[in-house]
Amino acid sequence: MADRPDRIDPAEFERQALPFLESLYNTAYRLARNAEDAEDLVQETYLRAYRSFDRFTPGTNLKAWLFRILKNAFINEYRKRRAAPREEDFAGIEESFESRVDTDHVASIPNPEEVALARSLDEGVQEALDALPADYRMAIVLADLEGFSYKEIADILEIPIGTVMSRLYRGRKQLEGQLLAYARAHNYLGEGAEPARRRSRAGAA
Amino acid sequence: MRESERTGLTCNRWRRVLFLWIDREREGLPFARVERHLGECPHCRERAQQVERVVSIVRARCRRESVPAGLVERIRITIERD
Repeated sequence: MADRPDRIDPAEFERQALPFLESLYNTAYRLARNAEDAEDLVQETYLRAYRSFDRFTPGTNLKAWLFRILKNAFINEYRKRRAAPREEDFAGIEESFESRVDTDHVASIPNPEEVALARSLDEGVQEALDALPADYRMAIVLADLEGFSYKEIADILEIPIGTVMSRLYRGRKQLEGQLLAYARAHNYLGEGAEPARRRSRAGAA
Repeated sequence: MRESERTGLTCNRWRRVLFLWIDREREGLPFARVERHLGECPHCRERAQQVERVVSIVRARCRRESVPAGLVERIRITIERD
């Protein structure tokens, strides 16, 4: 479409931006939770990035810039698909959640080595991550899978660093609960490894 | 109030910091006070270890998706046609 300034050279854009394809696709997959939508999301990201590449400041963080576009594309697509957008997925769930998860678990999650042979754990982790609200999932994927710093995540998600920390805090806490439930269901925990208080939430997975 | 409950409440202040403690190396945050507290409080120490396990399980177990064949070409075509 014609809103692209002529001076953007497709070859130069591709040279700079395509090395991030694997990271972008992986994150898109974690956000969209299926291959088809992930691919659409990544294509849309590259197209948007190409069209606005003249607004990218050379020498700044191109990877974070691309991830910010991915995030915006995801939110757009996500909102479009929801007849009645559930705001709780994108903002303001902090309060409601804290009251439910701010309880210590007595049971502990097994060491990765202890369950090295339990291949189905991969599925459990995947499910636990997929079950997180999008806000938390994004923060965790960016921090724990892509290795972005708090500052970079703040730039990508366009939120203050304090909010990044709080999403990581709550997301990891919710993951812990999910993994614990998974471990319990699959007998990875020994006798007497019940949490001090059982919550009566419906399973989120 | 029992001593353990009181201590638990006092430690709640630390819990949020403990969740960030696992990012200390990447972020270069000065967490000397947190480490001192961990040295003194087995309860918080256990919580910190638990969270580290969660993060390490996610890192180790969350598979990387491979880029579908032909996606690079499709992106190139989309861009060049634009």
